[in-house]
Amino acid sequence: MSKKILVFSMTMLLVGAFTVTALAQKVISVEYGEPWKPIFESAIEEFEKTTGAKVDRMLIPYGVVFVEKMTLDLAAGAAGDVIMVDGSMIADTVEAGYVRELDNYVKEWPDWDQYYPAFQAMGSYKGHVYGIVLETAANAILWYWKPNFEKAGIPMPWKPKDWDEVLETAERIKEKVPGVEYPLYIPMGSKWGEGATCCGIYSQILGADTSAGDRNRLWNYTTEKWIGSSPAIERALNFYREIFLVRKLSPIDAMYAPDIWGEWRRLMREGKIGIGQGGSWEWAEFWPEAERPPEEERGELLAWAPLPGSGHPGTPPIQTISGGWTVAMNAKVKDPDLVWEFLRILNSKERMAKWLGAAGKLSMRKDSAEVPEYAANDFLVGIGELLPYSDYRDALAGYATVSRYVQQAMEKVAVDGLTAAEATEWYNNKLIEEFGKDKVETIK
Amino acid sequence: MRGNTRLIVGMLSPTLIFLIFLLVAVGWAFYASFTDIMLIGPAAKSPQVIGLRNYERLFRDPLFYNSLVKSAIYTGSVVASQCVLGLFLAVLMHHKGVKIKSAVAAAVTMSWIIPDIVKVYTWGAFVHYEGTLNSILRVFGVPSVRWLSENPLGVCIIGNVWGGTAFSMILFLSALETVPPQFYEAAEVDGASSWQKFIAITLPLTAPVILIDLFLITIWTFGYFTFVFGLTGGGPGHATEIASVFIYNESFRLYKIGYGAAISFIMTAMVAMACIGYLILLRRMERV
Repeated sequence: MSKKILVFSMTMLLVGAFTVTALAQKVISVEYGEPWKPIFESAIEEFEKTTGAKVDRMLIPYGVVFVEKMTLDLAAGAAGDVIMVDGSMIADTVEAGYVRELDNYVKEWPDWDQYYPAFQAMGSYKGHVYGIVLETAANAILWYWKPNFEKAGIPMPWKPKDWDEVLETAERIKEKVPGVEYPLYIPMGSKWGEGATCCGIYSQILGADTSAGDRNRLWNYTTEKWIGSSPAIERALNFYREIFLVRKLSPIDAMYAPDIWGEWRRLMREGKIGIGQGGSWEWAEFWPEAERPPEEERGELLAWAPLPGSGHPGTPPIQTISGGWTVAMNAKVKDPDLVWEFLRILNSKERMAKWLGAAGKLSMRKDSAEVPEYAANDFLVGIGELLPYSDYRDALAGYATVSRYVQQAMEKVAVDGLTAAEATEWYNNKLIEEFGKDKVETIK
Repeated sequence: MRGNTRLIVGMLSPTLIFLIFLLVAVGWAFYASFTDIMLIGPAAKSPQVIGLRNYERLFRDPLFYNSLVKSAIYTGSVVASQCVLGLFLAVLMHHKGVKIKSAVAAAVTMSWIIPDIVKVYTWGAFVHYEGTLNSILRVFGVPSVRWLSENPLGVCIIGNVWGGTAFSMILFLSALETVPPQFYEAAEVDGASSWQKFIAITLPLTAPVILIDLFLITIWTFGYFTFVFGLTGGGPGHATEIASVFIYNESFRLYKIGYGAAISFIMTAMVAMACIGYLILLRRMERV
């Protein structure tokens, strides 16, 4: 009998001990996408080791529309304690009350001063910090497949001076290399989502006109109105019309494939694209990790050129746009200090520079240049030279909606066959319907 | 008696819980349809009641009418094709002389049981420019076609029929099992052809099941989302933007959840009307 009591007591003791341990162990949840897996995984490992807390990993795999998944999780109250917010959506996310202000934490964090002011601003809204930029890139550069250029007899390195030269080069590839299915691939349409705007048309809009009076933007910072109609928007839409409709340099089916990002990367690495407009991160992402050739081998197949301005008087010679994903703290976190500790570990100097170097992404920190893995990367040095020509999206409440209408306007010219002027008029009307006549302007 | 009451309540409780969840969700969506609530921005935090504005906007929205037309073509084509093909396959399966019926049954059923997203990628690969369909066509000298841009709605319709015919086939097969074999034997004695037997015996006796099949497939196809969304996202342009994809795009890509709720209620009312039509027809048939 006494033996039974002893066994029972021991069992209860063990169960109690396990329960207490389980309850005492702190847990935070971290929600991140597969492209950022390496940096998150290494930070999670260090965080668990140093704090003793556990991390509930909420990995969003490739193939899932990341922005929509994250937004839905936030709206449903199911998002992680640590979340990722696109720089262009900070304002909308803050206005919705989804993210927590980080002012007090960054004030005490010495690393914060290492961030260039433009990137501090990218994660801020109305003077308060909400997100720490995790990465940036040149979102629109012209990748080209060297063997196709060789076959077409196009001299390399290739550096087009204006849009006409881009179109003419693509036409030459179309004529000389029949195996190339997409002589000029450029993200287009609503299935590409924000990718069509940030890796596609916004760079064209910025390069289509002078920057005086925000003539080349979607938002006028002086009048504080959305630009519904302008020569820049019309010229950019006409560029798309030339590619898809007039010169037929890109079939549209790849813009609506079940996995558009995967399809674009496959087409490029299989040499089915002549010139492709995309982000600088593709240097690493064109190949799945398991198949990725070493840098020297990649350099024999793939090269890039800066995206030129339109060639209209006063337009910039080179144009790109830089976005960036930020990491932020869910407004509903129970233990903000612990969550901040994770953010601090994630954004540490060494970890960030090494990951950015390996992923071919640009750093937002001044001190990354001190880390050999980043500083020795020739590709990043070259891309870094584009930053003076880079601009930013309009991180304002309402941008996500505007961007969606821009994507639909692209479809109006590329799929429905409207002229650029007709598509601009359609876009202007949609903005008026959405924001009201007093919040939308026309630039002549 | 008290024991019985407890048993009844116990048995009904899962249904009641389900109903409560359903009613709460439907009630919230109904309320949302009268507000300007969004998934992001200030209207996510403090939505305003805007009365019937979402519904007014809906009836002025050309994309709403586009989605209605696409849905009508999509649903009508899928329902008709799936029903005819399902009936044909069921008759084939029921026929004793057909030797390859196991293989046909396995192939048709396989396409039905695989998960929707796998179906999307499989079908996407099949109709891809470099896919199996074009490879087969090239053997016969037919040049490759970019199906997803040439005929996107057709690709979605055929893909859905491929994935869903097994349901109709199984339903009809079970209905055919209930037809007394003596009827066919008697018809054979009278010298009836296969077609005459089908028209005079099979069709009238399976008619109620056909109607049930039509009823169910109409509801499912009208509200079916995964296949078309996964395959084309509603594009190119709005070429395949059926109602469910339109609702998704407005609610989750433009973040207008209130407007999306309003569209959902109008669409639900339309499906309900179609279903009432089917039910009236079914009642009449039962009386006959």
